[in-house]
Order: sequence, then C-alpha cells, then structure tokens
Amino acid sequence: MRRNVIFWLLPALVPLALAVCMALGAAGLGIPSLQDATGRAVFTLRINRVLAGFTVGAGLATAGVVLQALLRNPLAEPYVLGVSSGAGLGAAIAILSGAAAVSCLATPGLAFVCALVTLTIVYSLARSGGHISIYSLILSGVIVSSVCSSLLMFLVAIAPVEGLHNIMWWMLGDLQVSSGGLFLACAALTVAGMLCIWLMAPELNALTLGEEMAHHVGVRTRLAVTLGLALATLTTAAVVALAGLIGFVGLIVPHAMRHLVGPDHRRLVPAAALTGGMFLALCDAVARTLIAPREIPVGVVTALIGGPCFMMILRRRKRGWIEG
Amino acid sequence: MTAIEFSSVSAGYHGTPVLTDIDLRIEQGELVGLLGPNGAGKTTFLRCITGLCRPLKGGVRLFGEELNRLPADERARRVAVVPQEVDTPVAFTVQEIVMIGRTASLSRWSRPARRDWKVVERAMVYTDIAELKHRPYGELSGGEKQRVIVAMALAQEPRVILMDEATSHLDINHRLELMQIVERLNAEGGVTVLMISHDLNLAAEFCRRLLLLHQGRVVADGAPRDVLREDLLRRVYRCDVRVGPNPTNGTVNVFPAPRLTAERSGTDVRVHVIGGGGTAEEVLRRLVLCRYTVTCGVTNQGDTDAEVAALLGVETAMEKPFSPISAGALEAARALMQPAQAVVVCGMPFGTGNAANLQLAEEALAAGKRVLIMDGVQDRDYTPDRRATARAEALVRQGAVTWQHVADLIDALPGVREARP
Amino acid sequence: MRRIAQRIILPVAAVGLLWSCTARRPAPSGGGLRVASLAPNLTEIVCALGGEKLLVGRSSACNHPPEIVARVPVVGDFGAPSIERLLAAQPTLVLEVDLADESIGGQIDRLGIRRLRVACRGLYDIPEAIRQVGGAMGLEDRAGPLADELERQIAALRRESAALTNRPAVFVEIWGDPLTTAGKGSFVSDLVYLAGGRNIADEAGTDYFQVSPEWVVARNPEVMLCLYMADKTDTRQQVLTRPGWAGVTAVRTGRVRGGLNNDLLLRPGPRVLEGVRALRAAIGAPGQTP
Repeated sequence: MRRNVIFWLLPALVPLALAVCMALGAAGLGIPSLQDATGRAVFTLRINRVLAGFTVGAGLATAGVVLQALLRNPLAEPYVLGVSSGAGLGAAIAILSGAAAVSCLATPGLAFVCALVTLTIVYSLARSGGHISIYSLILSGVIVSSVCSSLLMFLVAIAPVEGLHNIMWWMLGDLQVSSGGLFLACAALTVAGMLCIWLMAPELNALTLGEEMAHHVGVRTRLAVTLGLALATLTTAAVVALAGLIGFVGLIVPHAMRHLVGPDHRRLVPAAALTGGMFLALCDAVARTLIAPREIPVGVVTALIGGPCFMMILRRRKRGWIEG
Repeated sequence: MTAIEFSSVSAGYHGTPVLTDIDLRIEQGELVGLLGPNGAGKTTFLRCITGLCRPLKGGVRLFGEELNRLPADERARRVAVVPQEVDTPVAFTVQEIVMIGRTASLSRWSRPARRDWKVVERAMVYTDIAELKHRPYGELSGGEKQRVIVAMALAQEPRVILMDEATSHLDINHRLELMQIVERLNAEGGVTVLMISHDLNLAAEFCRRLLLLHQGRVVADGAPRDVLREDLLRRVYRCDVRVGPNPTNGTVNVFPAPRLTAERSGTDVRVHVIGGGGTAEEVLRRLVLCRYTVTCGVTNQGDTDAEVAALLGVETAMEKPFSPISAGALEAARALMQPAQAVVVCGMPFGTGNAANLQLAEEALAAGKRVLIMDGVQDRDYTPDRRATARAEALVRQGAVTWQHVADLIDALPGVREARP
Repeated sequence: MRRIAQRIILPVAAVGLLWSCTARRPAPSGGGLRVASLAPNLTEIVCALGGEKLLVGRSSACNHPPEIVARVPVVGDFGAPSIERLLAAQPTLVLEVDLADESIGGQIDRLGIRRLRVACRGLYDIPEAIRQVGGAMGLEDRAGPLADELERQIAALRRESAALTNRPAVFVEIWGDPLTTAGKGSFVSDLVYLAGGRNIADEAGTDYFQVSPEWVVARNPEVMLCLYMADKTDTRQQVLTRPGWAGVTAVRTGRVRGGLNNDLLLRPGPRVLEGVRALRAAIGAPGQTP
C-alpha cells in the first residue's frame, strides 16, 4: 500500500536530507572538506545547525501530533496553549534585563521556565471539579496567551532599540547554537519526550474517538490527557529554549504526514518526527544560503516553503483530516 | 454467575442523585432492555456500569468484583459500550477503528499480534463489514457505521455489551439488522446485553427482560408483557398509550391512543356497526375519530373486529368464539342498537352463523333508523340457497342505503355537522 | 448657586480648553536660540562647538558630555521623541538625523518649530555636519576651524592607512545572538579601515546586518571586536568556546577584544579620532591574555 511505501522510505531519506543540508551554507556550496582548519570549522558549524534543526523540527512535529490528537482540532499546534507567548515573555525579560548579555544560558533558561509555568497556569485554570474539558483547555490557553502577549508587547514598547531587535530576532527563530551543553540538554529532553509520546500511540488513537469512547475501550483518559499535555509542553519548551519560536512546523507536518502515512499514531509519530526534522533542517539550510552572508529568519522560510507544499497535499484531500 | 450487580446504588452528578437505591442483578446471558422517559436515569445507569459515574452510595459489581477496584483495561475486557454514534475527525479506516477496540489488550511495545488481527477479523465478519475494512470510516452510511461500532465493541471480547440507544437514528432495515446481530451474540456467544431503547416495541420484541426506570427508581422488572402495562406506561411516560398483542412475535406492542382530530363532528349521533372478520375495522376507526358514539355487535370473541373495538373503546355485544349468534347475544346487540340513529352493515361474509345480524338491520329499518349496508352482498353470501342476498335486496328496496367506501358512508350518515375550525 | 456655577464654569472651561488646543505656542521670552538635539552625535557636535548652554532638550541616548546629562531635560528616545516634552522645552530649533518626514517630522513642522535634518551617518559626513550645525546655530566661527581640523586629520589618517600593507582581518561583532556586523560604508567599518584593519564584512555592501557564522568562520578573522561585551571575563569565555569557532585565528590567538566604548565606535561624532585610537589599540596589539 502506498502508505507503507512512504513510511519505510522516510528513514532512507534522512541521510540524503542531511547531506543536502551539509552542502548548503554561507561559506559556499558543497560539503566542506576536513583537510584544512577553516573547512573543519565550517563543517562543525554546519553540522551543529543541521542537528539542531533536525531536533527542533522533530520535537515540534511530535508535539503538534499529540496536541492535534488530544484537542481533536485541526488547528492545534505546539503553541496553542500559550507556550509560545510564555516563552517569548521569558526571553524578552532575559534580554531586556541584561541577563542575556551576562550569560548565554539566560535566554533559553528563562524561556524554558516561563513556558512550563504558562502551561501549569493554563492547566490549573482549565480544571474544574477535577475534570479537564478540551474546550476549557483551549479557552484558558487563549486567555493566558493573550495576557503573556500583552506583557510582551508592553516590554517591546519600552525596550531600547537594540533590545527590541534582539527580541524580534529571537521570536522569529534562530538555530544558531551558542552552547554545546545547552544543545545536549535540550536534545535529550526532546528525544525523551518524543519516545514517550510514541509509546502513548494506542491511547492517542483511542482519544481521537472522543474521551468517552476512549474510556470505554479501556484508556485511563484523565491520566492520558494530562501526560500527553505534559510531554507535549516539555518537548515544546525544550525546543523553544534552544531555537526560539519557529512556527508552521508543528501545525503543518502532522497534517501532511497524516495524509501520507495515515492517522495511526504508531506510524504517525515517528513519521512526523523524521519529516519535521528533515523539513526544518532543509528550511534552515535555505535560510542561511539564499541571501548570504545575510540570513533569513528560519520561521519565514518554513512558512513560505511549507504553505505551498501543504496545499499540494491538501488538493488530494482523500486521506487525513475530514472537515466536519 | 451474576454479570452485573447493583447494591443500593445511588448515583448522580455534582452530589445530586439521579438514581436512587437501585438494587438489582443481571445474570450472565440475559438480554435486558432498559426503558424509561428522558431524565429517568438510564444513561446514568449505564455510566455506573462503565465507571464514568461514581456511585454516591452503594456499589456496582462486575462478575463478582467491585467495579472501582477494577483497572481500566480489565474493565474494558469485560464491558463494551455501543453508543448511539461515534465520530472522529480523523480518517481512520474501518479496520483501524475496530483495532482501537483492542486497545486494552494490545501491547504498547510492539505491533498488534496475530491474535489481535484474528479477533478484529472475526468481529468484522460477524457484523458483516469485512468488505468495508479499508474504507474510511467517515464515508460510511449510518447503518454501516453502527455495525463498525458494534465490531469495535466485539473486538474487546467483552462479556457484557451495553447499548445506549444504538438504533435510534437508524432506519427500520438497519435497526432490525443490528438487533439480529445482537440477538445472535447473546444466543451463540453468551454475551450479556443491556440495551437502552426508546423504541418500546423493539425492546419488547428482542428483550426477554425489561427494566422500567422512573425518576431514578426501578418501577418494573420482568417480562415484556408484565412491564408494558397501560396503567404503568401511562403513569411513567405521562401520555395516553394503548398496549395490544403482537401476533407475529407473541409479545405486546405499544402504540399511542387514537387522537381525536375530527374532520367532521359526529357528536350526539349514535351509530351501531355490524361487522366481523376485520371488515368493520376501518369503519369503527373512522367513526370514532369523527366523534360518533359507536356501538358494535354481534361479533365473536377473538374476532379482529372485537379486538379493534376493544382498543377503540367501543361497546360491543359479543358471542362466544366460533359459535353461531345466540338469542342472548342478539338481545344484547338489540339493546345497543335501540338508541342508535343509524346502523351500518359492513362487508363481512354471511353464513348461517351470523345471518342473524341481518335481522338486526331489518329491525332497525322498521324502526325508522337509517340503515347503510355495504354493496356486493351476493359475492359474500355463503348461506344455504343464498338467503342473505335476498334479505339484503329486500332491505335496499325498503330504503336501506348502499355504500362502497368509508368516505361515502360518512357522508351518508345523519346529523353530521361540519366542524368549523 | 450651584446651577449658576455649573452654567458658567463648564462653558468657560470648555472654551478655554479648545482655545489652548488650537493656540500656537507663544514665543518664549528672551527671544534667544533654544536648541533641541534628537540624536547623540548631534548633541556631541553642539557641545563641541560650545553651544551646550543653548541646549534645552536632548534624546535619552545623548550621554556625552556628562555635564549636560543632569542639566538638559530628555525629550524622548532616539528616533522617537515625545512631542509633548519637546513642546514643553520650547525649542526654536530641532536638530535630528533621520526622523520620518510624514509622521513626527511633519508634526514638528506643523507646530512652527524650525527643524534641521543633519546628514551624519558616516565618517566622512562629520565635518560637513559640524559646519551645518554651526551655521544653523550661529557658531560658524567655531564650526569652521573644527571641521577643517577634523578633515585634515582624517585625510592624514587615510594616507597613513593606505600605505599599510599588512592589514589584519577584523570582524566587528556588534551583537552575538544573532550575529550582527557592519559592512562597507558603515561608520565602524570606516573606523576599522583608518585604524589599519580590514573589515571582513566589507564584501557586503550594506551597513548593519545579521551575518551567518559560517561565513565569518570561512573568512578566518584575526581580530574579533565584540562591541557588546563589557570587560566581563565569562562573556569573553563564551565567545572563545563557541562550538565550531575554535579554529578561527582570532579565537586561537586570543585576540577577542571587548570592553570597547560603543559610543565612540557607533556614533559618528566629533570624538571620531578617539575612536580610531581605541581601535588601533584593540586591533594593533599582538595577542595577549586578558
């Protein structure tokens, strides 16, 4: 079946995509040679970015899959519950308070912490009588997101010019890794989150039929929803701390892969992770090569490339999400 | 072995009980129907069995074990639910949906085992959806979707199946189809079935035991003809119903009482109808609807017309079954006929047994009443030397009016006032 | 009594409010020149010309010379002046570098205040800017000699610098994340040239832009000037330990300089020669441990 073919093709495509990414960059096309020092330096820089792009893309896509299953909503994506606004607020505080100039771990650290705090607030707002409803989650996500965005806008308004610029750039996404330790920590969290989400595939399948039906087939729905949200937020917070706010990947890649390999999460989760990683790494390669030596913010590239790609897939419209 | 046991269960939402003091047992292999008006607590009852609603008081046991001690996957292996409809915004195929039913038994760490595929396959064959297995669920018709849901329930390999108005939105064909599957499951597989249905007749037909809930309590529990009683149903459902026998399956049928929405008003006019063998049915019904005061006779007990008359509340003079009309019965009919202004003779066949009914008509004509006799007596005359035909012709010569259709009959009756809206 | 008061006070107040909104600012008593400078380099020029007594307003970024910081009120941020504060300072002349003509610039014009845009973005604009400011403020006698002297010294530096054969490759890192630098035609690039270095970002014709790290690494600068970095050791350490930069000559030899005065290096003003001297010290010195 076509779905099978695509699914087993993906792992084979990954090395190819990585090779293409390594061949693109502002220092010149082609994989840099390891003979001279400059070549080695460029190689190191490129491989760091490619790995970061792959990790971030995989994490965002996986988080998007979970949220679309839990919220049963095609517009769900990793930032829907206010995580992006919270992380942005944390980053803005770090940059404007000067902490970012002191330590390069300040911005990621504060972004991560604020993202987790935001989800905790959203979750506790949505609980009423010990029961979580999907609608109250989305609603409290919107509320908390607006509050964080307003605070962020306030900070932006009073920011001095350089600080403003840096906040804006962070919010557009940046895969430049400033610290190897930071990358390892975030990558470990992301990979752990993705694996746990993959293991939750049967529950995610059942939850797309609705919470009651999932309960009837034997899923502990409250636990599954809470755990799913926690894993999705952890993964998202980790990638946001590493690379800022890169949009589009977490919304579009799950939809596209659902069209191509089907909605069974046992396949969807790994397929989305691999495709999301390749997609973001390629977009980043384009972003840093197209107008070299300048760089386009990677979030711009993901939207410009991903939009038309998704529209092509949507034109078939047979498999995937049925609009109700 | 008791499949489901409720011990003094009171259950509800936010501390307010919807069910009060429910004490009952459902044994393994029973096919039970749960009836009751909206708000009586039927859905809460089901939710107590699946664990979605924690009882405020008392406990529920499933196959001897307390429900709240059972882990979720063990409970799913015992109880399956077939709801009214299942919707998913995602395009799962039928086979994938049925496989979701196996969630409680699937291993998290590996793909579905061969046994899982076999169970799914068997469930799909049982519900006759095997050829739909690769179709997207969202593209199916209502009846097909419902069978998929039943297959998903079967994939859990449950010992109890709960159906929550599972047939409500299906057409008659699919409704019967589904119920036949359920019946087979119960008979061959020994699966205990508890179904909520608003279709009282469907429940009466398929269930051997009915539970009637009213305001959170069980007010009746037993065989259909013991539970579906007019007085009980009128009290619980608060509307006028009639209960009658269903000759095809031996149980009872419930239907609403006739509504008197007369096109024309025949109030104050009394008509006596002579019929038999089902010929008076339409006449009786129409006359009653038009608010005539109707009497009937002589018919034999067990005759369809006698039953219809009883249902409609028409006073009838009756003879013993299969006996010729005796003097006593004739006297009773005469008494009913006396105050009537018109007598209608319907299109029943005439034989020696009921020829005496013609005598009633002759007496009525002599007394000056309007007599209306259905045309074509000669085709229905089974009396020796065709005496009924002669008597009918004599009646017509003396002023009886013939009629062919019920509509002409109504027009020809005396004293009809047009009912002004 | 109350009704009379209402009937009189409210209309009078309304009329007064309307009148004050539409009325022009009356000319300040004294009739002297009152100057508001909306850019830090223009403020420095004004003070270099001895006109600091005439300053009645400055931008929040104007911080030199230090004496004016306490005395002269702030009328807004650099690039975003507050019209109200500006009016309160009652200037007769507003000096600015790049206010948008349509919005704020136009507003100032409509208020009847004289506005002078001084072109002073690059190194070679500075002498002419000095003359322009001097002319507007009536300080031509100071402006002329100062501008001439500056021109002479800049020309001398250019001649010296043109003769240099061994120019170290310099990377000017204006901000670290994202990596931002300045290309050909920017002020700091010209300073680097005069200081004897070669700005590797000169290949790109634009002034301030984000640059891809691998592009910088491929060009292997010998000196890195981190303008945002104070003299704190750990920030420098982070730059030295950036993944992938270990092979860059500047990192290898430790010629990563911080603690530079951004005001000198990013502000085209009369202290330009100080800036060149600071850069010479930063670039020219051989590798040292911090």
